[in-house]
Amino acid sequence: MKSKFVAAGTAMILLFAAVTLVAHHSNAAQFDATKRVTIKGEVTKVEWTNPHAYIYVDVKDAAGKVVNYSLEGFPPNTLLRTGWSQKDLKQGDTISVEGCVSRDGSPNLLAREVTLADGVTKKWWGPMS
Amino acid sequence: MFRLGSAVILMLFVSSVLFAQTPAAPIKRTADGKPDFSGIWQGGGISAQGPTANIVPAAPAAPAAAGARGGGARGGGGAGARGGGAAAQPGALPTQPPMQQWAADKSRGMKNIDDPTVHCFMPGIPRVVGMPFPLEIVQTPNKIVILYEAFRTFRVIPTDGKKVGGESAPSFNGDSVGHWEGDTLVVDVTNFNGKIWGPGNMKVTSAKYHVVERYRLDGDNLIYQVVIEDPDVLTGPFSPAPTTLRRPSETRLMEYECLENNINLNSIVQ
Repeated sequence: MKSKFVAAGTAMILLFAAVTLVAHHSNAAQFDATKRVTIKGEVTKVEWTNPHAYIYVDVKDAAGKVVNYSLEGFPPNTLLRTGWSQKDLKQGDTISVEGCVSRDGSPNLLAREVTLADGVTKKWWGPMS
Repeated sequence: MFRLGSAVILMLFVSSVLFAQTPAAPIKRTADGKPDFSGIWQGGGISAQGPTANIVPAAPAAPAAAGARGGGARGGGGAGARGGGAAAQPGALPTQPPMQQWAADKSRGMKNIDDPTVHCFMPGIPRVVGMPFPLEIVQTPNKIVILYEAFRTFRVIPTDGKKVGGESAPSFNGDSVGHWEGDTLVVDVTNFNGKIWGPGNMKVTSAKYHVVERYRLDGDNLIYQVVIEDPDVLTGPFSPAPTTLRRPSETRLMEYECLENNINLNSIVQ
């Protein structure tokens, strides 16, 4: 019986694949899961939009130049169901973000974890499959 | 020590006997005695309860299917990476559709950008069931309506075996006609448009794509099984093991308008 359950679970994965983790598109082509960075900056905009939510953050580099990063996340529905509130983020908040870098070097992160101004860390994106 | 060991053995024996003789879990029924599928279900993905039980760690990618598509965040790419290298076990149900050579070759060549869902088209059947969003079933005596949060998909399925309405154009979700076989709802789905991806590695479908779905309750779980046929694409029917949909803690569906901010197409291409 148990093996049946396991078989069913496995078949589910094979049938529907990693579509189960991410709603809309694969990120492997766009982001490099092996290269992670942590950035800290000021929130300039938050988009609770489909198919993916975005946080935009101004980050100052070593030379003092400000770069605006976009942080791609789960769809809003998923974020709200996994403990996020739209009240968690507002323009001007300082947050730090751990994420996977963009392969093309553009200032976009697949933002895995966001540490909010109050120190609470939440997943903006789940495990990268 | 001996007593403890004996006790453990006895408990194991008793529990196995009990388990073996446990009757099917009772199911909720409608006023007319049919299994009651009403409510919200989740086939895949992440709910408020965290990853559903159907999520298991990804298997290592098969070399042929890895590479640029290795992320496999959507149906198809990931399925290929996962299923392609699996060795079949004797008696095991197939894990991948048996594709004709040309279809296997074409599927292997598909890129993320070729996935209809990347462009916000509906995933079709059965891919939509595994999307990381809940679905809701509304049941009446002669039809069920399935509202899928993913890609604003809905289906109206007569359950009396009678097709509703006249001619309809080929579509992403096809035309569904259901009938009861005991406590199982069997839904015949035809009239697809050949623009969707099938399950697993199957990234090409024809207008002859045909799905037979079987829905039944097992206690508070919804057991979902499909048989896929496509004589222009497959070498024979594909009958994978059933999958289990569970009741998430969500009590409502939300909107998922994929076209709202689909801004990254250029970087998805590979």
